[in-house]
Amino acid sequence: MSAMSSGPLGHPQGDAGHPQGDAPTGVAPTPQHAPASAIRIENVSMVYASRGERLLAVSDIALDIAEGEFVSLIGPSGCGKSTLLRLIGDLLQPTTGGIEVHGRSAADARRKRDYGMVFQSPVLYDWRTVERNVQLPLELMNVSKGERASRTRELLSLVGLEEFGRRYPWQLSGGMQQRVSIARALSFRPSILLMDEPFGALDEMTRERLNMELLNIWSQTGTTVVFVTHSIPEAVFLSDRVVIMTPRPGRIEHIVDVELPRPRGAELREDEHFFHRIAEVRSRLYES
Amino acid sequence: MAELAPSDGYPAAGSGDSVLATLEQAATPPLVRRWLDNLVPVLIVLVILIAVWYASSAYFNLQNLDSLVVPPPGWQKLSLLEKIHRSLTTDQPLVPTPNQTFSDFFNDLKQSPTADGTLWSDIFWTGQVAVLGFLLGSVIGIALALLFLSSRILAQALMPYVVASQTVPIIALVPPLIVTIGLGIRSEILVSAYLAFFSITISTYKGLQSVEPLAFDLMRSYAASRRQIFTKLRLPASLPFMFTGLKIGVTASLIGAVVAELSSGSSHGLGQRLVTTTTDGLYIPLWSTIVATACVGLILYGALVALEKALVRQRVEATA
Repeated sequence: MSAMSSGPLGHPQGDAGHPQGDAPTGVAPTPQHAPASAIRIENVSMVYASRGERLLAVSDIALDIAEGEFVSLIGPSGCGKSTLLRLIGDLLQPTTGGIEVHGRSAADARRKRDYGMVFQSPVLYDWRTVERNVQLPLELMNVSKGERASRTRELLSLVGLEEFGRRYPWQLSGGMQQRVSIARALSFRPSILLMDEPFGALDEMTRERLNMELLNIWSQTGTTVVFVTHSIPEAVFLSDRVVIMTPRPGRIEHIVDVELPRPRGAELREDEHFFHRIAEVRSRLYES
Repeated sequence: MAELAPSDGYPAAGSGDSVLATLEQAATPPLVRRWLDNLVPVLIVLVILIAVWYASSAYFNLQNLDSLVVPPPGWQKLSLLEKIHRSLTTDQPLVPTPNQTFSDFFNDLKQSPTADGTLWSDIFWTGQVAVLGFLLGSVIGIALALLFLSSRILAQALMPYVVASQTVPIIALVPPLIVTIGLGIRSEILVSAYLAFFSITISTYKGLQSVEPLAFDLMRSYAASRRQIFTKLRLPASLPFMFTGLKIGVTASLIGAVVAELSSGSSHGLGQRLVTTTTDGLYIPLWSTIVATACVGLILYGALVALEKALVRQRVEATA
């Protein structure tokens, strides 16, 4: 509660004065911000109100995520990492502060279909085949049948499920279902992928394999990825930056730069530098 | 590895493919085999039921013949076995045997379907009432479910009355209905619909609410319209639930149709046939009417199962 009143930025409207809001495209870019920021989170706090009780879920979050960057949010349960992801995706609205996505509000970005979302459970529609699940967003966006079909083929081969298009979701393993859900999220070429513990329910081996596949897909699509996880190795393996959050209220405690070379392969998991980064994230996580 | 003659029936040793192929065959028995596996328990129960039916025919008819003031000539001198034989063959049984019942049933079916007063005409009449009552009940049932979905307050306000409507014994409603709108097919359809709509409302409403919250979040992330959310998510998700209600509803609609005929003194239908055969003491036609009613019920239920198979794509746990 106190964080809300002490926050220097009162309302989202306060953002109107920021320079990037009205900068016309023709003007020379500012050299400091070489990679354009895809997501800009400014002093966001969010209060959950349920049955008269008010809970400060996240407090004073400020974070810039660059175009094409892979950022992980990590922290113990209840630290607000999923809340933050939902705030970015406009599934929740901040109580104070503002979120800008490509210079627009999060709500506009959602309406412009900037977000592909993947949740911990695959949330596939049981009554649709794998193909038709992948096509669902395209169907909603009135994409022609022919284009839907070709895009689906493309995506299913991207996630290695070409042969399973005609199956029903319940005929696939958990890992395969999650790959379908990723293909579906990518189907309409969103500029941002929001992933909420997508591999949290999978076994370690499947998870590591899907980590590799995700990096491969990410390098092919150039999507900005915000990835919530509570696995330290997963966060380090995938990310450019690991954002460490602490609970009650959820705050950003540290940001660890993972300066490991790309492309990253299975051999990285044996690399001493990889272990150092893991140790760094772990010590940051425990000191907070 | 020499080629093995195909006739020896064994896969070539060491050939992994054929070993796998045989394993696969062993894992999935042929369709006919599985069908038979399912059928055998059903047939066993059928045999038991028929045995129980014969036993009760013998028991009740024997008691009946024993208690007659004027027993059949020479009855007292018969052995028990002979008495049982007589009980199973008497042409005025209290409980007809299966063969008496079914031969009467099939004989009745040989009569012209168009003639008045035949079993066929009663089957058509009651079947028509049940189908129309079911359709009306479905429309009302689904409309109520949609209404409840549209407003929580409305759902809370109306639900107690919907539940209360089913606590009134249906027979009690027939006389006032006849008095108000008169004897005939319209009042029979109303009774049938009244009995059918409830399970359809409840299960459709439950089905429409069965969608997991994340599925809505997903639709929101696609900026889907309300209409799209309904047609692409809510409605298909509700179908398995809706069909559970429809299957209960269709049997209820038949009960409603029969009860309406039975308690209104209607001049048509299987319900009327149940009444007249009972009051006339014609127990063989009474039982063949019961068989006919069961057949109508099975056909209606089967039609819905077929429709469900065609429309519902999600994996549903097999239900009766």
